[in-house]
Amino acid sequence: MSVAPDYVEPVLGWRVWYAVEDGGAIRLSSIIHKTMWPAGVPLAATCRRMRIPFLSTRRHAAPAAECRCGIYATTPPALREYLAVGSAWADVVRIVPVLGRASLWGIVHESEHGWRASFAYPRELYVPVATLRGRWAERVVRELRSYRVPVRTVSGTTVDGVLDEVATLTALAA
Amino acid sequence: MEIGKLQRSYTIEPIEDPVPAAVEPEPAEEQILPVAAAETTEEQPSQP
Repeated sequence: MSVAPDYVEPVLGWRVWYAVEDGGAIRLSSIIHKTMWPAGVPLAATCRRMRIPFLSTRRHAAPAAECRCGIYATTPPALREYLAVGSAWADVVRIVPVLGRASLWGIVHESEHGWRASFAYPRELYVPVATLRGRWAERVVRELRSYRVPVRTVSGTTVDGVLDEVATLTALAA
Repeated sequence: MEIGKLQRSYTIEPIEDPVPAAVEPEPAEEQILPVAAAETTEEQPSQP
């Protein structure tokens, strides 16, 4: 007998990704773990702690309430910290921080400032392009469209500027 | 990513697929070529 779900609409949470080259194409990568987000299919969570010998834990589906596994998303105020981290790395290597909202579903653990879920897919993406060279920016935006979600550019030159612009665009789109 | 203390857990099974469907390319307009009058090539049954 199947168990009825509690909800039928995905949660929408904010994230920061890196846009990186992967196999000749630009794709989204998680910033904490180097997990590539596939285009056209949901990302399914797995628990990485089970692969680390000294952290070995019993097998479980991700996300488990007592673990820290799962696909994370947060609320806009918490995004600032991660966008700043992304921007710092972007100066060193050729990666582009990308903001956006992701749909989360499956098993969802809701916390004070965000969620952990078993499945996720980008819902909309915002690419800060102020520090990117023209052709590189064009390529990043063009290839992120392979996720089949809206991809918008933002021209803010500071973290606050980018966040303000994204907030305005999101409000206009609502 | 630090998201604070666990508040509650639930399950979500979306009615609509959160992954946007691939956009099917529009079918190319069918080209209408002038067709020569067909000739009947069927063999006629031989008369006894």
